[in-house]
Amino acid sequence: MSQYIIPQMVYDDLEVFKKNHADFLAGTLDELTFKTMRVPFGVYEQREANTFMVRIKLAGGILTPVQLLSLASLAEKYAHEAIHITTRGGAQLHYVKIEDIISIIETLHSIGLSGRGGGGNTVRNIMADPLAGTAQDEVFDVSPYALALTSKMLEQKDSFALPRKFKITFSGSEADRGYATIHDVGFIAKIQDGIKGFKLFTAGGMGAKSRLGTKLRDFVPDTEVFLYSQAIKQVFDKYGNRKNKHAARLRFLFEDLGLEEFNKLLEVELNDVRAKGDWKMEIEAIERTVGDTTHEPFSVPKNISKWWNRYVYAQKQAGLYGCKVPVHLGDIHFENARALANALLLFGEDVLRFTGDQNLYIRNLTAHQMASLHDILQKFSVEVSKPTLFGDMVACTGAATCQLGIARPRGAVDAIQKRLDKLLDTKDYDLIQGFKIHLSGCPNSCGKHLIGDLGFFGKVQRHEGYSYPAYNVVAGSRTSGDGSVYAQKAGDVAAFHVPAFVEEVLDTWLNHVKAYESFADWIDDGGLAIITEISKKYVDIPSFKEDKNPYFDYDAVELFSSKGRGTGECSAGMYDLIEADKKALKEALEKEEKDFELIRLLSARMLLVTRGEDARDKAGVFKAFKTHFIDTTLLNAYFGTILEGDADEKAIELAEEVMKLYETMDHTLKFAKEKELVPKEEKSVHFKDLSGVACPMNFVKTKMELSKIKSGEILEILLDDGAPIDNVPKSVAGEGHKVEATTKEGNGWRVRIVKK
Amino acid sequence: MKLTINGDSKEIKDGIVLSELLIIENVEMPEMVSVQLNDEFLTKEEHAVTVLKAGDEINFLYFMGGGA
Amino acid sequence: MKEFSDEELERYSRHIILQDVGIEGQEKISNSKVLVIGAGGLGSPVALYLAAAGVGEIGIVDGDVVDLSNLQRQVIHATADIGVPKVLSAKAKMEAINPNTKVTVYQKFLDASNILEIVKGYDFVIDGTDNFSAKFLINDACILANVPYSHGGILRFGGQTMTIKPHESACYACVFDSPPPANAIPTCSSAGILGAVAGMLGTIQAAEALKYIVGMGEPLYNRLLTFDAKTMNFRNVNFKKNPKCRVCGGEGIKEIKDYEAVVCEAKL
Ligand SMILES: [Zn+2]
Repeated sequence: MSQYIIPQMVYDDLEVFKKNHADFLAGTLDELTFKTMRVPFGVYEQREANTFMVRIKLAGGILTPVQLLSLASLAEKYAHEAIHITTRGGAQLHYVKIEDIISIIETLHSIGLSGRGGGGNTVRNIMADPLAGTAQDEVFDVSPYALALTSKMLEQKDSFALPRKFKITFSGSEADRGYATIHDVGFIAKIQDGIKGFKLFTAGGMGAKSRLGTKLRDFVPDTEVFLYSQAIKQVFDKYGNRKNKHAARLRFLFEDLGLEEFNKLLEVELNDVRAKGDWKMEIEAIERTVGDTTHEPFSVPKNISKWWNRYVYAQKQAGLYGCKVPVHLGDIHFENARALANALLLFGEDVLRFTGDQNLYIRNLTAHQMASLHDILQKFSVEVSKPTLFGDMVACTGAATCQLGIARPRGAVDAIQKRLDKLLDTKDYDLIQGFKIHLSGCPNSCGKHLIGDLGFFGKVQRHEGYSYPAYNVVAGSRTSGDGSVYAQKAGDVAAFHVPAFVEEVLDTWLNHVKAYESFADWIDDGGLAIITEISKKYVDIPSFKEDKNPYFDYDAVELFSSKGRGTGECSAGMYDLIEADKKALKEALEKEEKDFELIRLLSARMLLVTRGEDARDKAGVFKAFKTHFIDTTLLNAYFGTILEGDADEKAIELAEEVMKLYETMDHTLKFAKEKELVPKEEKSVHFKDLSGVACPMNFVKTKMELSKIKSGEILEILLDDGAPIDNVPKSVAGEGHKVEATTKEGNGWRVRIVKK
Repeated sequence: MKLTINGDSKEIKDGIVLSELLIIENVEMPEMVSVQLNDEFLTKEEHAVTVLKAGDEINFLYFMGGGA
Repeated sequence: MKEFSDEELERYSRHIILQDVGIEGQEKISNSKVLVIGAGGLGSPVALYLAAAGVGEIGIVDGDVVDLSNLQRQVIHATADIGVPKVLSAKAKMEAINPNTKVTVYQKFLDASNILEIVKGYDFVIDGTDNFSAKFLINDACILANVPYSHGGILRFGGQTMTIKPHESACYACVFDSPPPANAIPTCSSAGILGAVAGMLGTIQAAEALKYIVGMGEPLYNRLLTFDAKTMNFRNVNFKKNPKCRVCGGEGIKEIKDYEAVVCEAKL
């Protein structure tokens, strides 16, 4: 069976990489240089020190049993025994040791797979409808296009140095199971006048500023798939925002330009790609090479009928079946992979897919063949033996590993499943087959909450001064080539109450399911209001004294805190907190008998979250306020004096000043004054980027830089979050230098030092 | 009387000269020790004629010639 | 201002982090020249630590070859070095620890004819010798050449050390005047030495050298640090520069003369 073609350049680069790898192991090559070499091979550092992961491109999620067998062996030997399915239907090997990387890459190359462009600002793994080639409703099989386009994109040097990541997908029908409407470039199969082609969508995507794709062309002939993809990519490459990575995705550029201007620029690039030649795509249909074509009569054995009804589907080819295998969090144990691969070897080559919902699909089998897999598949996950609801839950890792995360959705999923599991005897969740619960730790949509039936994304709530983890609830998404709709906001719930809330929503939906065609239909027909009502019961929690549990997130050992959370794309949770304080402050200001102490406290606290502070008591709030707003000269020193001694009517001046300041804040949490400050002084400021430099070398290098400048001059450094920001400013101040300001920048911090 | 000898306070009989103290304190080879009395070094000749009084501070500094 | 390479910044990071050392102090260390006289019990730790610290240039003096009986305490030498000149064995180890340090070897014993010339070229001298004639000779040379140095002596379980800044602080002769008669005082080879004591004293001397170079803390001026490893009592005996000192006093010495060699034979 055909795969994508790895260009010669990748093999050539490998020889160079091998030498660099040896030098790095011998200690003669520094880490940074090595990093720039390993990343193009899909080798990324993990959070755990000295462990790496290897990303593997699987165009359209396509892989053969032989490839699965090899991956199983690699997982056994090098990767803590697991093959991980990514959210783009690619594969990942985790916990890999650096010394094993070359062996792994060479093995991958030997089976025709590469990690090129797995991450970073590249063309990401090109996806396809999980059912492509088998779905009853499909116009034609789009998988060959994912493969062919991958081969073409791998040849282009500009695919690997874009302003931001660039995602492409194919859907075989209007049901848009490939999510073409939420990709940078999305194709939906269409036949016009007997010619194969696609509806072309562009500039869609989920994130803090989600956007549904715009239909750019109603029909593009299939030979022009590369032409358009490349031209759009070139527009992005030339005009995309490289400065601000939070506004860099194609959808931001598209919003800035507007459709008309975008089309103009696109025409130029289309001509450019045509002029370079070789833009027509050759398509090779995927053929079944081996396999049983005799279809004996079959009736589903009773002992496997539940599973069969839930997960097996009849393909468009009469007598052939496909099956979805829910894989818990995308991890397949190598023994399961090996057992399945061995069984599938007999049935053909095109029998497998990895998918973006981090599950595995089997296809092109006769009923007998499919039934024979039942026992093997049961071992893949506990979800295989449960209603689809369980396996269809999607969650990102959230705050457990992500710096932007607010809540911990994986823990919430476990808690939901635990609760629903106990109800299986009394409730028939098979009635709501296909119901999707999606959770994200923050508004960034890594958990795809916007395209769930019921979606959640993390937020911070406060009760009597204590922060606690909570979720925004959204409901009723639709995907379709004729108008996708994101799930709509339905309410807020405490993380602690999510399982009970889900149970009640499902109970209510079970009562209505027979009357509606889809959950989205019910949501539109009054369901949303019902869910909003339900959510109100689950948003409040007891006081910290009464019960501390709701203040801890699932699987968290530390008290929930928003301190140190990123202010990147994930600032939406912060706004909730600011608005809550602002509302309380306004109320306090409107009262006849004013509580100056309260006004003073709320004023000082209101904007602290924008600086990653989460102080609980008055002293902590005042101290942090002085550090971030007075010492930085964002506010006049006079306002610092208002915090001294007993509160009086001057608290009102402080409140007004803080609210004025808030009005100048932009979506990157920067105040207007900060922007004025920076460029004006940049000329005389010395600068050193110490992000990625660990303690204590960051401090050593800071001292080196300070030794080069004169007393009274300014040095600005960038430090990582965590130990670096905790320690370096302290140490610098300890030596008598003045630390003027520490401000959050990206995932790290900018620290401004005046040399003593 | 009380004397401070090498930092330690000691009760020593009254009216002795330094040479006697070297014997009382079992100093090996008394002629080869450098003696400091109340911050001043004494010459070897002074050892026999220096009468000690209560409160005197005496340090014996020995040669140490090793190093290899 | 020296621009340290990333390699150097990392190598010396634990120095640079020290507020009293910092970049400036490490730069001074890198620009300094230290002479270590004797590559034995004291010279070994001193040379190792100074090389590790990044002293720019280290001279090392010794006329002996490595002997099996040295290895109990002379930690810069290895069993495979037996029979090799001590200065060469030491140089190899120092360069292995820190290739940034330049090592100059003097495979000889110092005497009145050569000492002044050699000492003159250094910022600081370490006395790691094992006999009084050498110790007094070094004192004389350093006073005459006006080079500060660290005196060190060890015996059995004890050690003593002082740091001398010529004409400013008391010198060795201010305290001990002149060498004891031959055979009067035991030395290591005749009386024995606990190997670790050599390490204790040598590292103190290395620290004194670095303190002087960087200009931090209070060197052992005008005081003799003595310790007894059996009781682990450490004492400082304070004194002043002797105005009538035979070597550094009013008249003082004007030229270098050899002292009568002390024969190493224990009487006790
Ligand atoms: Zn003197």
